[in-house]
Amino acid sequence: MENVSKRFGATQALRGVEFEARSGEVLALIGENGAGKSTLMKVLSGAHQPDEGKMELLGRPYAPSGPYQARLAGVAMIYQELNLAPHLTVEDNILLGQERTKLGIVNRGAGRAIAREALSRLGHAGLDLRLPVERLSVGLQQVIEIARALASHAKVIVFDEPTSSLTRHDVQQLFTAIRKLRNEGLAIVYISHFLEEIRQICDRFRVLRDGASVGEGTVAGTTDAQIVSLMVGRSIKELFPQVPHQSGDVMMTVESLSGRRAPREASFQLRRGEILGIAGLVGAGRTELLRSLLALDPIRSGKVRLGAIAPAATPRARLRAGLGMVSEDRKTEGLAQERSVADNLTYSYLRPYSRFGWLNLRRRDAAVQTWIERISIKTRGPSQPVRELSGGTQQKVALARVLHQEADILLLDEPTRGIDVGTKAEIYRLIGELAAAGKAVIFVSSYLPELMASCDRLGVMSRGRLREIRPVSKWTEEEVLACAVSEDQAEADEINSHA
Amino acid sequence: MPEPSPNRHSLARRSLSSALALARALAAVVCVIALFAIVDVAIHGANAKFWTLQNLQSISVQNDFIVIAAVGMLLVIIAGGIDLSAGVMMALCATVIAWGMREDIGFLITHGENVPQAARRMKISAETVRTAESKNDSAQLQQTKAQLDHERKRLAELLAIKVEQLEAQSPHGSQSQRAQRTSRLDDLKKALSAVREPDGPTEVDPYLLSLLPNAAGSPWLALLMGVGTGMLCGLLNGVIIVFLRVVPFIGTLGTMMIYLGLGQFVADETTIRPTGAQVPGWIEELSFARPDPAWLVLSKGVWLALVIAGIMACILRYTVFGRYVFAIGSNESTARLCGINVPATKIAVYVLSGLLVGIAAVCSFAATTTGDPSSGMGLELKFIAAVVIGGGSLSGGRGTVIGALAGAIIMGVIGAGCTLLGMRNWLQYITLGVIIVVAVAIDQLRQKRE
Repeated sequence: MENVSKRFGATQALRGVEFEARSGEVLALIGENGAGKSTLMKVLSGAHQPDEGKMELLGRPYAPSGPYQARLAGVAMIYQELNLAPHLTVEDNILLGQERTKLGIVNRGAGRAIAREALSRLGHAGLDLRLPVERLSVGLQQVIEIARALASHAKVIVFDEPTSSLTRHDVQQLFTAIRKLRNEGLAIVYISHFLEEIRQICDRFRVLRDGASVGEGTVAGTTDAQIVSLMVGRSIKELFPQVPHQSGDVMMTVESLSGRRAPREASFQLRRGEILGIAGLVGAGRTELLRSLLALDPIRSGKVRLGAIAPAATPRARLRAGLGMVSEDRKTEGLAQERSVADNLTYSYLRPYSRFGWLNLRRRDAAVQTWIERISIKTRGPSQPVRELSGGTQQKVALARVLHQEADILLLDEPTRGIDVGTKAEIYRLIGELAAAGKAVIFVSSYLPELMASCDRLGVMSRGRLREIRPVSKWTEEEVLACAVSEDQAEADEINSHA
Repeated sequence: MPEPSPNRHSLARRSLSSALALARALAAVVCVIALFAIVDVAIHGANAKFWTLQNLQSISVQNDFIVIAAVGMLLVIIAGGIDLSAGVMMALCATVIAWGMREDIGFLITHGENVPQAARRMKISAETVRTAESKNDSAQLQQTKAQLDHERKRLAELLAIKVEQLEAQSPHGSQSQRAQRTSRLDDLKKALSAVREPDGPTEVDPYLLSLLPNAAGSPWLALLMGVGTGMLCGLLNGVIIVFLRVVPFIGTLGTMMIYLGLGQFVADETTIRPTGAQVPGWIEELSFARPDPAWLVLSKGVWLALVIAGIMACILRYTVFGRYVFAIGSNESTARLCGINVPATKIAVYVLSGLLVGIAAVCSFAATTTGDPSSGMGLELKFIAAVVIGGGSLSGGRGTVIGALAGAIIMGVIGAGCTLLGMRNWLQYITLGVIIVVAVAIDQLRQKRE
């Protein structure tokens, strides 16, 4: 029985976090987005060095200078997004970076034995080692990642929200594997904010909030409500500020809108001053619904009408008709990271500052400044590159762009993902104020509580179809979840393997 | 919670940072020039030539076309692309210009043929007459003779127009030059009257033909064709990249070979050399190191390059198009999300870059007055190097005109300076290579720290 303990005390993102993971035990690290989990991961893996505090592994100081050193020391990370070389085979991926060599020549036989053993420990002894991993399902790809950790003799395995892209079947398989590894004496750290999963698999928990650890205990001896209050740290009222608003006349009518894969024949109406939430699993086609409304993805059939106009199927025409979108991914789509706050805020609507194609930069920057003040964007000024801003602030810039372009219908895709709790509350209030000002909002999120708290009506999507829309008061969380997984598993699996 | 961020503060910061960028570029250029000047003085003492107006004039005039083409390349690189065809494209444009000059394109269009073509036709029909004579075929002889007569009249007609043109030119230049002109004119008149005779010579001295000036519109038309070729080539690049979805590196690698082939087709696999009389003085003047008037200090080609650089800097900073180019280069998905017409903007980028390559070809033609389609191979790397030394990023979204300008100047100064110091060719190349790597490495470090 070996004890693994780690202590930190970093300044801003992490404020003296401490926890210990014991071998033969699954420790849950719970926290909201922005609680400091991802920073903690980076410190654990050696990507960041702690400013203060120290870590110990098996009684010895542990201070990895990078992910490779961390792995050598016996700490392996399984991230949300998988880190595999898609074209390489199962075997090559498992042995990546730890190929068994003799005089510089790869010893295939020894490597194959190690890969085979690691897979069989996970209950996948029959997997073909020569298959390229891109041909495997997401669930199996994750198995490969875990096998890689085993092949490097990991003593601690850290899972970062490992179930976010898995089907329910795969989740159960993953849990079986984790229990097996725990029983073999490994220490498991399981990062998540899904209480249900934590109940199923974890022994003890540690709650992170605003970069500090605020509580711990055994899972069995604590109620959900206790854990939630630790996570949120404030009353629901503060977390989800309500702005009274009224739905008006119909603004947008969507008739059997279909994209290449999703959405499938989505039909709904959106009213002035209404917040329509869209719930569903990852891969259910929620993002695709928003993208096809803005004609970012090719549209197969269906109609979108805004009042009397049916705008052409180009992003430009849809923007002019009054649609605006905040992308779920700020890095790869939402913002041009290298460009300034002013540029990012005004790209979609430079007309007010241009004459014959020439810009009046002074007037533009003055307008940007008023937006910076109006929704308190924490920046040095309009010319600061967006990449230097924090996640929450970047999200505000993305939102400000849609506000600045005077969109009447706002399509918000996971607008609160990866940002701190305080900024989240600001965004909820902003959404409420927009509705009160007569705009319409479609709010896509994976976090059901925020949808339940902010939306007027809630629609649920599964496998590309918009299943059902009801007023929020007519839904319970259980009903939403049931609806989200309502379809037969085979088709959901197919969608997931494409995702 | 918001930090104090008054408007004035941020504006001051921005002008400070752009002033800093300007200062950095200037400092680098000044450093390189100073280095060579000092080393030159140390080696050659009183005979040092580097820091003389004459030398600086000649360095600048040798690089004017690189600056113009590099500015075009900058645009492409900011938009996240690359143009490997630019060098060969420039040679193609210059070849088209040279062809237009040699063929007297304006005259060719208005009269259906030019004088050398008419002369060639007369020569050929004279030969058919001779064959008919040797065969003693009277019917054929009559027919071919009538043909020769027709060709003779046609040539005389065209020649007369040219002689008239030459006569109409107001006399200028020194006395000996004027005398030379008069004697040439007399020779031409004699040749003309000889051709007019029904039994006159069937050939015209090619030397005399080479003295014929082009029609007034020909040079302009030739230049227009050259620049237009650049724009068409740019359009083709853009279409291949945008609509066929070929990555810029591969797409322009392909068009590089296509443009080389086209150039060789136009030049018939040789070098096109228009005669001195065919290239008007004002074109050659672009590349005179010492300009007339002298108060210009630098050659007209250099001023052209600087004006173009200035215009491009304004376009990038003060136009919607410029902002969109940066947006696309920085993150194409964001550009789409913001309703920017990405395909149209990208095509405009390549066409504009082609236009600049065409103008660069005018400058390079002014210096050589020949069209050699293979002379552009490898030049594209110089254009790219200028952009990259100047802080441009090959992943797009970053780059400045002032940087590209500084990059081109630094490369030009190093090349010319090494020659002046008597450094061997291989050493020059190594120096240039080291400069490129070091400049980009420093830039990377700076970026990381910021």
